[in-house]
Amino acid sequence: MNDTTRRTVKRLAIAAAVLFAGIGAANAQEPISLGLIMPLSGQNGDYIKRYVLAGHELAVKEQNAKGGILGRQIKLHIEDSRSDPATAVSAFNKLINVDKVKAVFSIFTPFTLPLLPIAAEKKVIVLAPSVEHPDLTKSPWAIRMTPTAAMNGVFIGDQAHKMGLKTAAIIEEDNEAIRVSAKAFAAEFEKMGGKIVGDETFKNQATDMRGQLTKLRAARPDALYLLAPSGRPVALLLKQIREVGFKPKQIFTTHLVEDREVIALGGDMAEGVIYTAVATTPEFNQKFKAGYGYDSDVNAGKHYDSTMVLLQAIQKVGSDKDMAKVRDAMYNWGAYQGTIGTFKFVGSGEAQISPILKIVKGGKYIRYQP
Amino acid sequence: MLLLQLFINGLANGALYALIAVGFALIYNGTRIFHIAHGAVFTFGGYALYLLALPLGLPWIVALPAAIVATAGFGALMDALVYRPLRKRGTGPAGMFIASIGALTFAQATYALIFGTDTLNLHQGGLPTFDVGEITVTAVHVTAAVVALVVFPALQLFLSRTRWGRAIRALADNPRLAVVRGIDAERLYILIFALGSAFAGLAVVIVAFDLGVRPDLGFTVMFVALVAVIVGGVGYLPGAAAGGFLLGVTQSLSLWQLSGRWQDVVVFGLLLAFLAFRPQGIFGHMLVTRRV
Repeated sequence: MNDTTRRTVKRLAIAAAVLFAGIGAANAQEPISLGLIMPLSGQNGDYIKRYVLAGHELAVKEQNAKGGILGRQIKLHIEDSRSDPATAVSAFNKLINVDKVKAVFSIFTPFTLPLLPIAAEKKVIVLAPSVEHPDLTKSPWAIRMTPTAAMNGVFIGDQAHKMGLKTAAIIEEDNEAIRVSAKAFAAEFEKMGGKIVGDETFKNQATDMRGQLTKLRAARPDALYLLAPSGRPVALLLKQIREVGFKPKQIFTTHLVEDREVIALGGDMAEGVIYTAVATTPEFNQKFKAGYGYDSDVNAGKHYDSTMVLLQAIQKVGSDKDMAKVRDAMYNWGAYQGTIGTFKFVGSGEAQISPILKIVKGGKYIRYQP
Repeated sequence: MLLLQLFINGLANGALYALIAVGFALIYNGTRIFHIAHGAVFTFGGYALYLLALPLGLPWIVALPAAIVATAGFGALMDALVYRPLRKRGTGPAGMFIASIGALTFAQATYALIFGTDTLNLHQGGLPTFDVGEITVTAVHVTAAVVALVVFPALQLFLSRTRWGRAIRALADNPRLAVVRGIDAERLYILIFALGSAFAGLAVVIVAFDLGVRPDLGFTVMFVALVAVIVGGVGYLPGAAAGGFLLGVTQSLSLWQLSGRWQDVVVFGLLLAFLAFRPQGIFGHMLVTRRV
């Protein structure tokens, strides 16, 4: 080996050392990659961006400001499912294979259930805090943090009976989770001696439900239970109930009646509506309002909570290498104090929490006191 | 009573389908362009109305006709920008069709870019309604029906009695002969597109006022209108109108026995039935004598 060669080898060795050191350093600071797949366009897109995505981003921003988790920043990779299950699946594969995410946040049953078999295969956690379909938590990789669809239906069925209403009708979007609420409501209401006199569906993205409402009007129910996946269809339904001259004694629905789309289309239409909800703490609401300039809603809270539980579980395990450990840490968390109350994790992805009843009174959303 | 109410609802919706279908058919018959981008022109009208009525604050009485004129202008502009260059190069119907799909997609994306993907509301609260006994109709539905009753005969008169109308029919019938006889086809194309788009404008101001505007507003409506054209009989204008009404009423009456989730199935079921048993449409036989 002559001098020149030796020098060259030496230089190469130094270069290699520097290079590897660089990679090592980069590794230590490599962010924790989380994914999010939601319908960010179309009828439900506005709602998702304003509350759900906002909730996740608030949590990530807050944690990053505190120095992240395990000394690493958190990076949220965002994908639009365009309200299409197939697009959701390809976005999921892309997040796992290209962005190397370890956990994905999702919303709405039809775009979440198809992810679960892939999640099990790739060992990726799917957090769908607000998905209410019972099948979600049959997957050993999924997590829900909300009263289930069935629980909401049972609550409303009980309430309708307590108010002395004898007959009820349902108008619902054709959606699996919603069907669960509707069925639970019908079963509970009929168990108490009530009678379901009408049950009409409309399709996702539908805007004119006057035909269905006309048909329900003809059945003259005492109570109407209105089930839709976002604020826009709830607003349209309330508007069109008026337009077809339908006057049930009591309208029931979900917390989505608080959505700004309902207010935008004329908030007084929601007057007197009773609904199931979980309430966010005032502290969270303040924080959210400071960040975005408008009030939070329960989904913002739930999705914020789900991000925080995940990050704290990663912290507890001490690494994001083995997601099975992170998942088990979450499943066995016990009581978790979130922004919408205390969740109880009892060895599964089902974090239990009870809904409350609220009513729209004088344009305000208040706790319902019979 | 329920059936009557559903029938009336169907007529009102049918009037809207008919307006869009007739606009599309007018353009197709006159120019042989399968103008899918008619849906984008339709949506444009919604945004035009939104801009004129809300940010600019024009009174409805001014904003509504202005939006319809703007829609007509946009349709003519689309011909000038998209189809005319292709025509000059001698592009065939398939090329035109693909250009039209491109224009539709491009326009939808542009609307989303400018206005966002959220629904923009033009009206707050429930619409004013009229009650006759047990029957309730909204002002919007009444307007749709009245508009259709006025403009369809007017269009028919225009096409049969005026010089321009006859020129359009001549062009539709035999473009080459029409040009030989001294008809300025390019100028007529502008008129045809403006007129057809004005029909979309009439429909969209009603729809937008009722349900708000979204970038994909014209997409589904366009499909229903296409089915209406085929069901009515391609090439025959009153057929497109009849197809629109038939679809609206069938869709609405189907609710009597079926759940709302089947509404699209009803539309396409009707299409399949026609394609299988009467591919020439309801009025297909009229084509022997007239095209427009």
